[in-house]
Amino acid sequence: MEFIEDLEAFREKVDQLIDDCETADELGQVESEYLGPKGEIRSFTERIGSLPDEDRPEAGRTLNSVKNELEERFSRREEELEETAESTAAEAGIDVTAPGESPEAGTNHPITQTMRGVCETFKQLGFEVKRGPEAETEFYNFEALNIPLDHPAREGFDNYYLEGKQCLLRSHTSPMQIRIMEQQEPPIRSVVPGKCYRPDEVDASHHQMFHQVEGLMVGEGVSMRDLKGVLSMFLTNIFGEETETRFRPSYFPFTEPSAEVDVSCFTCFGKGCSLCGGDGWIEILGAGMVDPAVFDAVDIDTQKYTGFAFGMGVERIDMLLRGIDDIRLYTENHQEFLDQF
Amino acid sequence: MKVHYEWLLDICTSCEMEAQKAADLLTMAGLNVESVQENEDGETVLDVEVTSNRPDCLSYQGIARELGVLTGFSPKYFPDDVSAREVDSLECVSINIPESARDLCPRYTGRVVRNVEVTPSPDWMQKRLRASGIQPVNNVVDITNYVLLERGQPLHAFDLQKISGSSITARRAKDGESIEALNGQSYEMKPDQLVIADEEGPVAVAGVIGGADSEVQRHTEHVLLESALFDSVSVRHTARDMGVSTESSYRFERKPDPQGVEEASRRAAYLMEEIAGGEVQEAYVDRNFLSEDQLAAKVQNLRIDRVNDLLGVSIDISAAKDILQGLGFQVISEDDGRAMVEIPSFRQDVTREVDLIEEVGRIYGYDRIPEEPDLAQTLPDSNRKEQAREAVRSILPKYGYQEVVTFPFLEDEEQGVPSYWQRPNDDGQTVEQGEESSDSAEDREEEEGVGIIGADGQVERYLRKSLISTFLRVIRTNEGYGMRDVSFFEVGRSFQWDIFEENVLEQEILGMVRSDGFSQIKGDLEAIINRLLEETPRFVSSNHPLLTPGYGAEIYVSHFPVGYVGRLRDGYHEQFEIQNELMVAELDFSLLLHRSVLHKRYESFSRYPRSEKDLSFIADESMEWETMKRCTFAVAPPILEEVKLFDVFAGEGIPEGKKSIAVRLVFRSNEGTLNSETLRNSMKQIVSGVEDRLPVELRGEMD
Repeated sequence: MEFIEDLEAFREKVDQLIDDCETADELGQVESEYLGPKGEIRSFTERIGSLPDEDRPEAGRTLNSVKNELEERFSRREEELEETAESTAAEAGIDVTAPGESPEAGTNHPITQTMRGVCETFKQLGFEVKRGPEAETEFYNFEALNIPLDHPAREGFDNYYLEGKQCLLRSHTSPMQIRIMEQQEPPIRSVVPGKCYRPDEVDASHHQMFHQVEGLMVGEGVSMRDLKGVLSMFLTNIFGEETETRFRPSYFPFTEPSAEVDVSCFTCFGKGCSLCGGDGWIEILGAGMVDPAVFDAVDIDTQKYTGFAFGMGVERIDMLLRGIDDIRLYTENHQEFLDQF
Repeated sequence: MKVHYEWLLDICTSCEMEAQKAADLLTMAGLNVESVQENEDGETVLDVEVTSNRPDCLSYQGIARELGVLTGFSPKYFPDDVSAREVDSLECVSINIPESARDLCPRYTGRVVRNVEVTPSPDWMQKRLRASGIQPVNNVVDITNYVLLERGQPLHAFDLQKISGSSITARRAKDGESIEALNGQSYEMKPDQLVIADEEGPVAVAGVIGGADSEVQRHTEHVLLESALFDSVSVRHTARDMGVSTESSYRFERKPDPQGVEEASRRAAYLMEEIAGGEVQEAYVDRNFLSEDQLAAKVQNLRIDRVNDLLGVSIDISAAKDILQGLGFQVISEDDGRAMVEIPSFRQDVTREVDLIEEVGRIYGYDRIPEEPDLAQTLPDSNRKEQAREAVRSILPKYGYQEVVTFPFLEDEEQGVPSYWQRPNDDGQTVEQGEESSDSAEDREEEEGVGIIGADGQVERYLRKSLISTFLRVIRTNEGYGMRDVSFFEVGRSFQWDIFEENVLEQEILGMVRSDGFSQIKGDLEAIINRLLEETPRFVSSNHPLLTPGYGAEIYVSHFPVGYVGRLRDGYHEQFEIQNELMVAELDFSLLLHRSVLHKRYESFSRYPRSEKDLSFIADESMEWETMKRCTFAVAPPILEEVKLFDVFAGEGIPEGKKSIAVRLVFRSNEGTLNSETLRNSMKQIVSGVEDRLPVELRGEMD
């Protein structure tokens, strides 16, 4: 049958054309030219109508099988071409070791980051962040905190008094305990981040300006149990799950009982190394129950309310966390230092 | 304090434990043992950190008492039985404390030991002194130091024969008096300092150091033994002024036991008899000016409920009693959870119930207090200001700014940098914000700001009045390291006196600096202010003294000036050795935070598409964009939503002294899609309106 022969020739021709295609575009063109709705294959469909009745079934079957076969060829070739295209692209490819381009972003100062981390932890425990003045009066910095006039901490060479001696740059963030209790009735739960100043000889571990975070919680029935619980939660949050905490009795004029809080050394895990000075513990913060004399200064009923306070040095924590060995780096503001964080 | 462990165990009888174990116990009870080491004699030495409230623990007895209560062993007390009879005046020398010196010397005892044989002290004593950090001298001097260590009461031994005349006096120093001290140095005394003087002059600086002239030496025969109480503040100041710190001054600064003065003298006399072969004279003088009240034993009530409430534990009263008695407190009576406690004289730091609670708590052990916080009490405010502050702090690094933290003390050269508060007035002259009259402007400019008092009592340095002054330092540092492109910001404080020069005004400022164009930093400022406030800032051309004239603006929100921005004045580059052309800005962050909003209000917006049309005008070169923009809105129909400046051009094709301003108009309606006729009419209205009101004309045709 002539129809079948023509169909076979058509098949061979298209088959060859498919083989010759080198790109997906060429293949698409061949497909629409020969197999598409307006393609050459249509002429075969039209011819079936003019064939004798007895030949039609066979012609129809053959046409269908050729059509299917070619369609399959097309998709096979398409896959082949895709694979080739990918491997060609891969050959040209990109140098994945070439430097990346990051957006020209700055960073927050490491002290800001650590201070924010400290405050965030306490915020989750229901503490509110407050800030206070850096130029303080002697009343807030000392008197109200149970540090009387003849106390050594008030000496001129240990503080930055300002002209006229009416005030000084705060030597700790504790004056905010007083300001907060003056402004607010218990229950109180606050943390105060901020700068403090003391005339120290500047060296790798001392600077005349440093940052502290102060904390205060006052309410009915607040006990050392709460103090220990809150600070342990905070310290494991900052230094890691495995961190152990240790509370040692100590002395501060504005807390009674007072405690010094240590964490287990996160470098040697308590075995002893240079970071912890060999005993496996690192001193991290001072704390205690608010001294009744402090409550008296702000007219809070000491029989009804109790509270605790704590304070920590941000530089110290940051230096420990990041392994920074010179406190002067923080105020030098060398971009290469700051960019690292 | 360096503690010789063997000596400590000698006092704490039958307590035998490893030094490290004892160190751990002491540390956890508040006597932090910083190290346990062997000294050159092979002796174990504990370095104990004693807090300033515990003078009693600056002694072996005190530390033994602590170790005793922690281990259940009672410390032993050492013999001091010598024959003693109090007299008004010693035969050989009279001791005078004039009324005027009694504030500095509330108690003074003296006794005489005759015929001592001055030799090196026995090995055991030398070993103990060395382990405690004191160099042995001779048996008499060593005994005074030994008792100082044992009891915490400083003593001094004079060579009786070297005392001139027949009296010694504790008095304030006279002008011009000096003393050659035991350390070989000579000191000029000041009138407020207390000295012990014979008839010729000072023989000791009271409580600080003895004089070389009356030193006990090899040939000394008779000793005058001083045991006294000196005022802690006076000793502190004297020692500091002299630049010395001695075992004696260190203890007097912390107020030793007022009742232990005479006992310590007896103990030393006893040892001089035993070790130095001396004959202790029965007669002794005790000039005691302490008031009845100061001497009376104090009694304090302790409620066990209060102990348990404050510590968060449940201790019973008998356990608390045991602890207090072990520490030397007497429980006078006990009833229904209350105890009356008598406080021993060596614990002057304990005056209140809470102090007793601390004693119970620290011996009971802080580590036994459970860690169970009850946090179900309060929820904090949202604290709008803090959120706003941290938001800005987080945004700026994304805009490429590096946050810095600077030290706000000015170096000399930075002193002249104008303050944040200096503002240009309408005439272009600078005046302080809040100043009524511009006459004082010049005085103000000279103003030095808030001075910081130095060690000598004089103003040493000044606090910054502007963040930019401290930024210049940072820029110079970084340029020195070859860093050229800088973008910095800081949230920090600036300081100035209030107008009465009485109070320090402290303002939180956001300072920014960047080394590219004005439009960049302006865009950053707009973005920050938009984040904080509902209002849009306005930039008004102005000449802040920090800025190059013609390249600066003052920033307003509503009618409030909130800061300035512009190009740093050229002069500062040379002065501060910086190369970069810099854009600087300062914002009154306190004010912005105060006006900040936590939640911005929603504004409804049109759902119909916008249409954009461009126009360009020829205008005078001096024409400000703000004027064009306002005028355009003023004459436009309400469908004009936005006016954008997209090009400013002068030069070829533009007449001399003129510029071309290309504007993109954005139209949108709430009611429907705009058709071309409406747009055309709106454009016509705008062009004719603007041409009418401003000296500008349309360039080319409307499209």
